[in-house]
Amino acid sequence: MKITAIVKAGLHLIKLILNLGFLWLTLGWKVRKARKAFEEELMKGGIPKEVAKKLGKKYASIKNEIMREIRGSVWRMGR
Amino acid sequence: MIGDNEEIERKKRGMSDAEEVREILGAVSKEIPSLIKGIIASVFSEEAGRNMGKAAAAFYKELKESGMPDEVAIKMTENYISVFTSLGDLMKKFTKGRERSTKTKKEIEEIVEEAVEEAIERGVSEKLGKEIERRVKKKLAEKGLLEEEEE
Repeated sequence: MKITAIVKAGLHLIKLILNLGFLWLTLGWKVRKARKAFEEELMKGGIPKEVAKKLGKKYASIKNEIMREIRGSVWRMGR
Repeated sequence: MIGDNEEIERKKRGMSDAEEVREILGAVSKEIPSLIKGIIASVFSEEAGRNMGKAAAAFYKELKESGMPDEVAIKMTENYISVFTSLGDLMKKFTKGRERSTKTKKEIEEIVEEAVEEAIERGVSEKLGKEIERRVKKKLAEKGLLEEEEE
């Protein structure tokens, strides 16, 4: 009974880690897609291409910020 | 006492620690990824990017039409975007909120002590000064700004 519960808990943990890993891997792809759509709309609105790229870069930088914050909070929790 | 009650309660339900952990992990492994997925999708999806782009472009267009110089319009659009993308700041505030509140408590304590020292220097008796300090700290503790001292 106890062993079954431990095995099941382990399986849930593995599932959680795999899910989070998958999210982390697909995040970069999602950011690229969103940035492209963002820049397209800016250019449609009459913003010069270079400026649109610059603004797109700023938009995509949130990903780094979020990752940094998550790493920071995990580090703080560990201490 | 509370721990004993919990233990009895768990035994009543016929649950062991391992089973409880299994249940918790089962719920967590379902809920956490979907929660994170939702947060990410609200900022980083094709549709979200398109909507933000539309809003920023409309803002820029308005600025240009009202005769704003190019550089200023771009700078203002950049600021406008950073309003949308302040999720990082929000997280920062959220994760650092506890540290800041501890710092504020220390600052209040220091201010009270400094004020009392100053009052003593200006001729208020030490006994009265300490009494005022005690009362101020008590009031602050009542309002949750300071931890109450044990007497």
